[in-house]
Amino acid sequence: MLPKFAGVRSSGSASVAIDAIDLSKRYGRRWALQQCSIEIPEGHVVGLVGANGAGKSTLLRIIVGLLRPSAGTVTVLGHPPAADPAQLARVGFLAQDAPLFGSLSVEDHLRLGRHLNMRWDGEGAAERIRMLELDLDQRAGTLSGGERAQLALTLALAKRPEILILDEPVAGLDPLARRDFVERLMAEVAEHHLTVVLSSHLLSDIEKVSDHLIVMASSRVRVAGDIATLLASHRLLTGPHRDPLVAPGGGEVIDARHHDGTTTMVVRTDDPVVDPDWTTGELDLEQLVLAYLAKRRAPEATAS
Amino acid sequence: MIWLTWRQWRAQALSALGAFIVLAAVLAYTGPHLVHLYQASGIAECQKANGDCGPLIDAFTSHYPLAHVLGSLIILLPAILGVFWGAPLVARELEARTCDVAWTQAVSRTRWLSTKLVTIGLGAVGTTAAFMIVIAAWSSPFDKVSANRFSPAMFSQRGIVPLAYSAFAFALGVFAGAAIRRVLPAMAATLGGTAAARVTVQQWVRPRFAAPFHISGAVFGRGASPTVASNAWVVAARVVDAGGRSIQVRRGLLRDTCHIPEGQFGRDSLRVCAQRLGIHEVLTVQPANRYWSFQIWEGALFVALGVALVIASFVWVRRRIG
Repeated sequence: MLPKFAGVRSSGSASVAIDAIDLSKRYGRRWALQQCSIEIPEGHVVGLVGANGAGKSTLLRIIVGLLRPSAGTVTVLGHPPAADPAQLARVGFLAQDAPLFGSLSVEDHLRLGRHLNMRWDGEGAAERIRMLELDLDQRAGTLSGGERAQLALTLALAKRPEILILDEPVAGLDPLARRDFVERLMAEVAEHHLTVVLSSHLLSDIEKVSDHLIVMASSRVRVAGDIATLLASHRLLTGPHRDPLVAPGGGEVIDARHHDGTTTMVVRTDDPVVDPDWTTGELDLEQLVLAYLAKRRAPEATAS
Repeated sequence: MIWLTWRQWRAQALSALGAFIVLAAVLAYTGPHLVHLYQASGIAECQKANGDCGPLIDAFTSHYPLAHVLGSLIILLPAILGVFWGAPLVARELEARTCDVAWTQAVSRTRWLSTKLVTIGLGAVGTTAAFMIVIAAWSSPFDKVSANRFSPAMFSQRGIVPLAYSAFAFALGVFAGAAIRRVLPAMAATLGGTAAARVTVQQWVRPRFAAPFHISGAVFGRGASPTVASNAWVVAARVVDAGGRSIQVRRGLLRDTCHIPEGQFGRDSLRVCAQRLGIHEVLTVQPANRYWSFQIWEGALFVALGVALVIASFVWVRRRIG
């Protein structure tokens, strides 16, 4: 069974923003994405975390219609990605490293947005550029990484999209630019009730802003769901060395480590574990993500 | 979309316009002098009198070596525009990943590509047309005295075919850019592909647009024999023996075969000897009145190839990229 979002939704909105079923993408003989099924509810901020090359960009680029899946289907707000200009207008995208037209000025980029979109918040965009203290006449090719990311975010937001997809938006930024970027993003999300999917190879980049999480490794989705629900349904158990690995009290062993005759395991279960030999601890998000990333290295050991 | 297309192409379009204005100014300045030189050369009178005008023509054409440069410009311009305007059209966006921006705005890829293709494609054809018209006007005294417009070199410099070459080279550049996805290799492919297509058509396709005439005549005759109209295209000339096989004529061999005495050896005795042996020259000729139908055939051929490449480019941009 492939990971699906747990049923609990943190807000009242029940409609699905992005619904992917068995999405796969192959380049020659290499699979960039395999059988990815996810359901992203509207109005949430979803963090997509995984190592470089795990398939995050591939998934996001399929969602915005820049890539075509080799198999599977995806609907965004009920329609195929990039099906027509109306659908393109509903989805904002910030590509990795924030590509811009190097020889065009900041102002040209705002004009470009106005000419290429039927819905365009020109005043808002101009206001944001003013707040960022960007020179309207400066060529985009000479902007710093942080300024480029901010300009690209401004373009994506000025479309007034319903869904915003951000591919590694803060990867190349220094800590200050990172903070500014995230602050602005969160202010916009709060104001316009956007659905956001943002990826990073670092959990720390996205855990503060996301309420949902998707963990990817080796072109597959390892786990996906509401963060609070995920944390509530996983236990960190420490007890005597145990082989073969079976979780006390049932549940799926996600990852296990042996050390000095004791075994520490991350177990997915909704029931409390009552076994005098085992002590139960709470997981933090990082331990949870690491457990799922480690799972790929020893899949047979965790088979229940 | 037109705004973005123009904004991205503006610098190149204006440089082309600047180059055109400079050239047009130079040609407007030197043109009247060239006409004057022609009138003063006496070539027109000489030709009316059916004299041997070769030395006069040589003297006149040596005045402006620029004419050859301009001729080469018309031949090269379609390929240059295909390389610099066509090839980067998709490839540069893919290389700089700006297509990630362009293709996620509320404009379909079809509209993105068609706007660019129409605007810049018409720009390329129009640029070629503008350069050709001013250069042809300036060169008209030269065209009068020397060039046969149906000859392979001149055929591709005048009429409608340069415009068709331009449309073809541009479409080839766009397609190569979409298929190869890298600017420099796409440029190289465009240059190579345009050259290959034009040489192939000129050498092997153009002579077959209509069945040629074959004209026989004596070898070692007076002047250019056998005689054909000066504006006809002599596709091939070969010397054949009585059995119709192509041969190389060696004067020494003819002299020995016919036992021409030492004192009588010359063009007249050789002609008589060749006639006796049945050796004659055969010209493959496309008559002068086929010039425009050949222009239309060749123009249509390149436009058709260009249309096929445009269709392929749409398929690539819509379906293959991504």
